[in-house]
Amino acid sequence: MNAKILIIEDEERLRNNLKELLELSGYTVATAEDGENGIEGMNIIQPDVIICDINMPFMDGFDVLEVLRLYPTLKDIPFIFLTAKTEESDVKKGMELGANEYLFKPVRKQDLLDTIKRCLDNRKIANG
Amino acid sequence: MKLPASEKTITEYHALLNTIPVPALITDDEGVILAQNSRCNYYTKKGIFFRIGVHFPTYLDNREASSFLHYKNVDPGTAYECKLVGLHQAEGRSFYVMFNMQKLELDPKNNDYIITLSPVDSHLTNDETIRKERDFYKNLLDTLPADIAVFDPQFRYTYVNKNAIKDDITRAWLIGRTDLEYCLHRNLPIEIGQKRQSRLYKLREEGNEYSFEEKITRNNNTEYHLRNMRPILNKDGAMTNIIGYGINITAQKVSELKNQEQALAIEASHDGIAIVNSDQTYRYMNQSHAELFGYSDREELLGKSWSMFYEESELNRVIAELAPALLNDKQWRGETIARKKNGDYINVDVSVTLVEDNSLICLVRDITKRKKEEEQLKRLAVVASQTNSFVIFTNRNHEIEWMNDAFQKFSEYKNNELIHQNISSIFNQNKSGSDIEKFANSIKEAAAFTGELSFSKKQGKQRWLQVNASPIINEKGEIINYVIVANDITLTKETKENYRQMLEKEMELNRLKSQFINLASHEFRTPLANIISSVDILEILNSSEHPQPERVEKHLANIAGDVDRMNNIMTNIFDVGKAETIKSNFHPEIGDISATVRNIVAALEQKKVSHKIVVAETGASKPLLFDKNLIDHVITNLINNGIKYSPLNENIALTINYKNNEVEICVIDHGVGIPKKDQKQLFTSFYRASNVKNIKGTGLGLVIVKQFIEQHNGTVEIISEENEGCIVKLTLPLLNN
Repeated sequence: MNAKILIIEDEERLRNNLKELLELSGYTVATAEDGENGIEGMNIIQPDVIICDINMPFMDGFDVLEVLRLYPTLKDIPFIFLTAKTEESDVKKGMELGANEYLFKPVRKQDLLDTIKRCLDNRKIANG
Repeated sequence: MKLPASEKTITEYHALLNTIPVPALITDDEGVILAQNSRCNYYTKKGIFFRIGVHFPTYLDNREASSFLHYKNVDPGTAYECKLVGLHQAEGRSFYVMFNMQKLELDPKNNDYIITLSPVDSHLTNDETIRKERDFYKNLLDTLPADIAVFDPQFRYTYVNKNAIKDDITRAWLIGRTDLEYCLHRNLPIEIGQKRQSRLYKLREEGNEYSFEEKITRNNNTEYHLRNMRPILNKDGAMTNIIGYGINITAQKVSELKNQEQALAIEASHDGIAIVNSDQTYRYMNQSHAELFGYSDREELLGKSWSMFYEESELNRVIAELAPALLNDKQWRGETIARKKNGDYINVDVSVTLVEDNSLICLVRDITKRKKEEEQLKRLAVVASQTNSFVIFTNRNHEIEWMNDAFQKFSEYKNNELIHQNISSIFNQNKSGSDIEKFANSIKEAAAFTGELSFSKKQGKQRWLQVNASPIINEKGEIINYVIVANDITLTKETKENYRQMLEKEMELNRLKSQFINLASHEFRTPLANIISSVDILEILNSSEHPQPERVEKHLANIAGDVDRMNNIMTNIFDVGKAETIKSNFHPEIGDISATVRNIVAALEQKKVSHKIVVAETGASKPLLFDKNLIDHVITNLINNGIKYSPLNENIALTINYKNNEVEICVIDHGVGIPKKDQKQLFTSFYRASNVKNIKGTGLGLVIVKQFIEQHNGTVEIISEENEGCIVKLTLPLLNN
C-alpha cells in the first residue's frame, strides 16, 4: 500500500502542485487549506507523513505541530515544515517544537522526495 | 579696766592738793578729773572751776587737747604751755597756762596723774608777737596743700592738718588713734592701714626717712598719693615723733600710666616702629622692627644707620622722595624694597614723620605677601577679563557683581543690566536638559557645580552653556563670592544631538531594510515554489509515455501567472523608489474625481473582489487638478488594504465629500484597525502595524499613497481604533481659485 501524505498549505496553487507532484511520485495525498482542517484530516486518514506550511491565517504551522503532539495517535507521525520562513530563529523554533524536517520554499522535487523517504524509513525502523 | 578711785583716795588727793600753792588737779590715766584744789578758783569768780569726772582735755584748745595724752608720756616735770578754753565764756576770755603733769606716786596701782597749772598772763600781754607767730605756723600747717600728720612713737596720731582730713569731728577723733583704727572707721581697705603700720615699724627700727606711693580707691575714684615719713629726734637721738607728709599725685600718675600703656602698645605692635636720630642712626626700635629685617636682637641695630637695609639705587630713589617731603610736610609715606639680614628682599610700606628734635619716627610694615597677592590678582584679573570663556563673579548673596567683556558681548546685555541680579535667574528655568535645579541647589548649599544651562541672549536667541561655579572661601570658612566660568557649547550640543538623531534614523532604516528583505524574500518564495513545483511536474509529464497536453498547458499557465505575481511585487517595491522620479513625471489634468473613483471601483468589481464596495457622494461636484494614474494607484491601494484587513461580510465604503475649497475622499473599512501606537509610523517605509499577523503586505502601500497625495498638495489622515476599522481620509484642493 502506498504511503499516505497530508499536505497543509493555504496557497491553493502550491497545494495543488505538491499534491500532483507527490501523486505522480506514487504517494497517496490528502490536502488541507489551513491548520484546523489539517488536524481534522489527519485524525481521519492517519497519514504516514505530514507536510505543513508555517505562514497561514488563524492557526499557523507551529500551532498545528504543537496541537498534534498532544494527540497520542498523531504525535509520532513524521512532520515536515515546508515554508518561506528562512530565518534561523524560525528553523530553531520549528525543530524545538519537534519537527522532523524543515524545508525552505522553493523546494526541488528530488529534495522533497528524499526527505519524505527519510522520514518513512526512520519511522519503519522506529516501529521495528 | 581701771579701778574707780575710792573715797579714801579722794580724801588723800584733796589733802595732797591743798598742800600745793598753785592751782592743781588730779586725773586718772585717761585724763578724767578726779579732784582739784581750791586754788583752781583763781580762774573763776563763780567757785568750782573744773568739774569732777570731766575729761581734762575738754578744757584745752583743740590742738593741745590732741597732744594731752602725749604730754603725760614724755619729759615728766616739763611744763607745757596751753590755752584753756570753755571758761569764763561770759567774759570771753581765754587763759594761757603752763601745765606740768606728773605721774602720781601716791597710789601706783591707780596710775593717776597730778597736773599743776600756772597762769601765763604775762605771756599774754608781753609775748604777743610769739603767739602771733605760732598762730601763723598753725595756720600755715592747716592750709598747706599737702597732708601733714604727726605720730607718736606708738604710731598714734598726735596731729593731722586740715588738708589731710577736712572733717573737724573726724580730725579730733583721730588724735590718739592709729591708721588701723582710721581705716576701720572710714571703711578703707584694712590693707592700707596694715601697710602704713608696717612701714612705721620699719622706720622706727631703721630710723631712716622714706617715701612711698599709695593707691586709694574709694567710691570708684582712684587717687594716688606720694607720702614721705620722717622721724623727729630729740637732742639725745631718741625718736620723739614721726612726721608724715603727703601730696596727691593722681594727675601725674594717670599720665604716667598712660605713657606706660602707649609704650607697651608700641612694643607689642606688629608694625615695625623706630626712632631715628638726626644722624640717621637708630635710637629706639620695637622688637617687630628688628624682626622685620631679620634681626632677633634689636640691640644689635641701635646706633646703626637705617640706610643699611637698602641697596644704593633704591636708597637714592627713596631719599630723592623723602627729603623734600620731610622739608615741606614733615612727613613721607611710600613703598620700597628692603633687604633682610639673610639677603631676602621684602616689600615695605614706610611712614616717616619728622619730630621736634629732628628725630624721625619711622613706621615700617612688611607688605611682601600683600604685594605678591596683588600681583597675582592683577594677573588673574587680566586672565578673567581677556579670556574667551565667560567669567562672572557674584557676591555672597549670589548677586552678580562683575562679568567679563566676553560675557557681555555674548549675552548682548550691558554690564549694568545684569549687575545685582541673582545668578540663577539669568538662566532659562524650564528648559529640558538643563541642570538649572542642580545649579540652584549647589549655589544654595555653597557647593561647586558643573553642568549645562540654557541661556537666552537679550535678542532672544537661546544658547547652551557649559557652566562651572565655585564658591570662594576665606580663611574663616566663610563664602566671599562665587566664580562662574561658562562656555558656549550650543554648537557641540546641537551637533551631538544631530548625530544622535542621524544614528537613530540610520539604525531604524537598517532595521526596516532587514525587515523588508525578509519580507521580500518571503513574498518571492511562494510564487517561486509554485513555479518550481510546476517545472518538476512538467519534467515528469515530459518523460511520460502518455502525453497529457492539458496538464502541460495548465502548468505552463501557472508558471506564467506566478511570474506575473512576482513582477507585481517587484513593481510595488520599486514604486517607492519611483515615487521620487514620479514627481518629475507628474501630469495633472483638470477632471472629475468622482467619475475617476467610480471607474476604479467598477474595474475592481469586475475582477470579482471578495468584498462589496459602496460609494457615496455629498456636496456639489467640482473639478480639480489631478493625475489620473496616481489617483488610480492610491484608491486601488486603499481599497485593497481595506479588503485585506476586513472580514468577508463587511463592506468597504468610499465617501466623496465636496467642500468649499477641497474635496475629502474617505476609504472606510471595518477591519482590524490600526493600534494608536503604530499610527504615527504608518507612513514610514516597510513599517507594518503590530496586529497584521500573517496578512501579507510590503509595508510600502501607505508610503506611496502619501507621496502621491502630497504631490497634489493634499493630505492623508488616518482615523482608526484597533478592531474597529479604519478610515483613510484624503483631502485634495479644489480648483476654485
